[in-house]
Amino acid sequence: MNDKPTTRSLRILLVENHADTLRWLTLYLEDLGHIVTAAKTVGEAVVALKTQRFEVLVSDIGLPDGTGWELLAQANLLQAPYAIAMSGFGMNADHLRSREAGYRHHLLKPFKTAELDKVLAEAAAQPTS
Amino acid sequence: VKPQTDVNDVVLAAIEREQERIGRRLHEKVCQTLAGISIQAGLLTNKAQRGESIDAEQLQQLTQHTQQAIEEVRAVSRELRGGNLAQDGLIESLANLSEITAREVPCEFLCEQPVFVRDPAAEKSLLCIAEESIRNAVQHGAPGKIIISLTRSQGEVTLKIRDDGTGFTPPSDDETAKGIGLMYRRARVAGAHLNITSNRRSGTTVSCTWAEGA
Repeated sequence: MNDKPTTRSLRILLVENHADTLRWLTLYLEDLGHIVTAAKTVGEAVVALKTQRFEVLVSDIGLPDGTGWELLAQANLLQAPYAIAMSGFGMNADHLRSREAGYRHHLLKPFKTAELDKVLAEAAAQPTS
Repeated sequence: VKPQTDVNDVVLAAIEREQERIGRRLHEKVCQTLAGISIQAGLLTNKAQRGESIDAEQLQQLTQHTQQAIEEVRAVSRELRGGNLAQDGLIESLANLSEITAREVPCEFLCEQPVFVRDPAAEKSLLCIAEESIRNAVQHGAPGKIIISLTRSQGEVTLKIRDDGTGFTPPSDDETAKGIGLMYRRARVAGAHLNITSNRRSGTTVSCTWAEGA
């Protein structure tokens, strides 16, 4: 039986520099019916955020040209997407820093896909603008 | 390049550097691979729950990634145990080190004649000096190539680690200086002689000579 939280299709910006993780996460999200744009660096992600509209940002914290924490500040958006951080570091300080940077959730890698499903369902439940 | 004087500082700094390095490696390699496996498994589970057929190729890839994670964990475990020096010997261990280094920077191991070091402590020290030298070169020297060589002549075994990087004169940071201090101490305890030359034009050469019966 599929007990996955139901969700609508979301426009997601996925930021991840690890090729395999990016590939599989893209496939996973697309399989759920989401529309995914991939970026491998802070620079690529900032350009995408400034030129396209996303409902959700799913970003790794450790990136080649900066951190996921810097990403939202650099994009300097009037209305930031629902942001979900991913990291191999899950100390309280990491969670706090993600929250301060504007992320709603901080997923500790390797995470269960059910955790991602849950936060995406939360994102989908947000009022659309 | 002079050795540091405070032994406790040097040892503590070395332990902290090693912990940080292993933590980084677990994060950058093992966690990423496991994250990929978890997502792949989730994707296949979703397909199965919808009653869709699962691609044999995707299952094969999942198996390959699981095997990759096992190998990464084994490699870290092996490092934590100090390598398999007793089993592999110095030549094989240096060859492994060269192979691992070559994943980041071109690296060659030269050993034309079999070289045996009959003192396990000296063997361990030589390997640790090689590891520390390579770490310094990769982290601080931006080398285009690293060459590890092991030779024996007239009862003396010489290990050299040469790189063509930017060198460090004086040591570029306190941590590096402490690491170098530890190398000198290792050499001294093993009865070996360590010499480090470094400049911006010709890179760095670490040379450690151990005389049989030292």
